[in-house]
Amino acid sequence: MNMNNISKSRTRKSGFQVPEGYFENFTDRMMAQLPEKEEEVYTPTLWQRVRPWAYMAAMFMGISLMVRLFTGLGAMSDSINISSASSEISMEMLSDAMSEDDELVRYVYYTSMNDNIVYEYAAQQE
Amino acid sequence: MQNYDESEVITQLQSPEMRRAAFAKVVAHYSEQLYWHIRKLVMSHDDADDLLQNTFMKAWMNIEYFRGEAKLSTWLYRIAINESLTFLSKQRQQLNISIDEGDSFLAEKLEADEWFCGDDAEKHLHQAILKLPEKQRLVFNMRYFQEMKYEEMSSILGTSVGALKASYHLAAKKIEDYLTEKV
Repeated sequence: MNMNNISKSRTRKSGFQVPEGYFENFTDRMMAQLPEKEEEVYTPTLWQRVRPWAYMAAMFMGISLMVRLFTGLGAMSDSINISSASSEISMEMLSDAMSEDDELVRYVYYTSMNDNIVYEYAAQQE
Repeated sequence: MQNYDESEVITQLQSPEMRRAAFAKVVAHYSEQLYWHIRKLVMSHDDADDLLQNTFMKAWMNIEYFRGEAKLSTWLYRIAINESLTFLSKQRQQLNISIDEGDSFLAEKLEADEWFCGDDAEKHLHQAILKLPEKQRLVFNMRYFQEMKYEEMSSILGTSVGALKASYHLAAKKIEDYLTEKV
């Protein structure tokens, strides 16, 4: 027997059979088995709703901290410059700057003035 | 199947309200051709029936992922083939048979199946087909029984048309040799 002879007798079923009405009933049988597909209703949680605002707040806080950090570094840098020049600060300059005690404290703080200068100034005031 | 418009059905499958009714059309349209494809691979009617149901169940469970890039038939055939080959692999494991030993257990199933009433020539043909390696058998069935175009087979099996043609002709030659020897 060759393939040509086989081809003459070829059918899709080729000896196979199915029960009576199998294909006619298959769709109904199959559809009865399929589960209902529940459409997912998206209900975001509280965190999911708040999350974008939280991220934005965190971002602004980060930016704020960075700005403060850099401006603080700038001030420190000025302080260092002033500190290095503090030995050249004259008593007149200091006296002009010190109209009140709290101003002295602030001035000392920002200029990192050494103790000797303060003591010298205090002695002169007395 | 009357009134089956594939593009319309695919559009309806995307809609949650129309999905179930559209899927019923798909089942009605493809069940017979998929059944015969599966049946030729597993031989037994009961196994083919189970695998056909599994095929449509898998398709239904994943229908929202089908976006229509491939043809619906290609997608369904891929699922059916995958289900059938996985089933055969499990059967071989259960029977402790290596894939190289051939699928003689399927010939036995064919003999025992109450829904096989073929004559000797048909029985010999199926026995010859069962001697083929799994991939060649798949190609031979699709081309010989289902008269599927090589291009469509290529999109389903992910193999080039040239390779499929070569595989089919090799399979046909082996079957001819077997039948010549047998008769």
